[in-house]
Amino acid sequence: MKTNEQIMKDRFEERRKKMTSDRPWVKNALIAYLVGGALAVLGQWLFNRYMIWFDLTEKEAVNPVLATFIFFACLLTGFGVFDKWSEKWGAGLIVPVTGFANSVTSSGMEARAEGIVFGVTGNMFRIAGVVLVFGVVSAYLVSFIRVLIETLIN
Amino acid sequence: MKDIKQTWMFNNPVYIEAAASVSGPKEKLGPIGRFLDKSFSDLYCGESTWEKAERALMKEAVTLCLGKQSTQVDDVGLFIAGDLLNQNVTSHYTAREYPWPYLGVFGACATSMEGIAIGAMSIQSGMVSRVLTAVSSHYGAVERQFRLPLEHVKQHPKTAMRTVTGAGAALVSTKRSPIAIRSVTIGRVVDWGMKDPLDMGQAMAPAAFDTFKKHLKETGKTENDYDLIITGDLSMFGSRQFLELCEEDGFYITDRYLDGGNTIFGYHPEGFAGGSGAACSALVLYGYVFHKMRSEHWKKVLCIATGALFNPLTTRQKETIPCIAHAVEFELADGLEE
Repeated sequence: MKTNEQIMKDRFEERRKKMTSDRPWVKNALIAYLVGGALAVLGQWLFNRYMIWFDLTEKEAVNPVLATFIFFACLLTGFGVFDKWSEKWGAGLIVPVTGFANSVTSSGMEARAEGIVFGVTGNMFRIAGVVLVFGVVSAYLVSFIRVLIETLIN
Repeated sequence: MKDIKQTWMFNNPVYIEAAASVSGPKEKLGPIGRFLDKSFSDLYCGESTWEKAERALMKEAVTLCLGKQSTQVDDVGLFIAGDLLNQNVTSHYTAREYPWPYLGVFGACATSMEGIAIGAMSIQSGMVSRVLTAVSSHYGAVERQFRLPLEHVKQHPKTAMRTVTGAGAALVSTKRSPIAIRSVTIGRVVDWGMKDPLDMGQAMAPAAFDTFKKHLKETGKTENDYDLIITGDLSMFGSRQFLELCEEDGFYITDRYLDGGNTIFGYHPEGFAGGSGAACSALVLYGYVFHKMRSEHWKKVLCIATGALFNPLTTRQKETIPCIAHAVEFELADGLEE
């Protein structure tokens, strides 16, 4: 036999699930796909241009393109518009290095009142640190597996 | 088990002598913007950090509140203040500038009514004759402490609430004034197992309901005795849950119900579910509701300020969010016998 309060709690939970479950997954994914794709096209265009303008090889042209992306992500974060854009356009905007750049800049900016050492530098990797650790660990694991498979085949 | 008393009625009426509300830029644009005493046009309020900006807000609210009835600084016997930052820093720094004995209180977003309740009770005891209460919250400072940096990219779930930037101050006293405090109900901590810190409205709804029910039971009143029942910051989802809970228990209050979080920015602002924060109930009550009471639009008002007593560390440790609600009953003093 359920108590009165338990019945109320169950009904409460039911309503809560009904009200909050309809997150627009498909719409969000579609927007992210389109915006991310557009950014990739822009990156490719820059890549081609850089090869012509600065006379670079295909290998050398990758880093300047990334640097351009990072530079603009940081600049726009500083102006306070990057978070507003990403609210509208979703994850597509942050999947290239721009998301990482934004997390470093925003955390650093926020702590500027606490000084250079313990404020800005100390907080820069507050959020980005997670990405770094998991990035390094997964890169290590994947290359380990690759080497393992290669040795097995040979 | 014996029911523990939670409501205290005041035989000798205690009054709200003056109240002041100061806000940031977004709140000014909301529907209650024109009832606020002062609004800063910039989130920094002319300071260099969010924390200093919040201090400026509270200082301004205290100054304006004293100025309204030209109360002298030494007329005030006790200062009760609270905010959302760690260790109540904003209140401490504000209290540093005045000679009053000071109590720092924390009830998350319920701090405004907690301050008034303690103030009214200390006046009733006859120890002091004037108590100043103040609360503040600041969007930037709170986001930084509880969530992520402001400029960090994120998409809010639709239940997320935007913290109100602002401060409210109220002078509680024995001097006869238009608005009287009739009773206070101190809430108990209620936890129905909600874990999402971005959905505080629904977590707080059971606490509001618990206090509301207790208040009606102990004062012997019905919901129809009030012209307005206002909750602090339940916002869209929380206020719906609150109304549903009330209806399940047989209280039909939809026609006399208002929620601070739904009111402050207008309905559903920019993808947020509404406003929250300690200043939310303060701005709506001190600015809008008191104004309407003075013009006799509403005569009896019950304000239930709700607070989610969570901590960013414990929510990350997968703990549930305990919530609290304090209710204060206001009445237009004309209806009171001398």
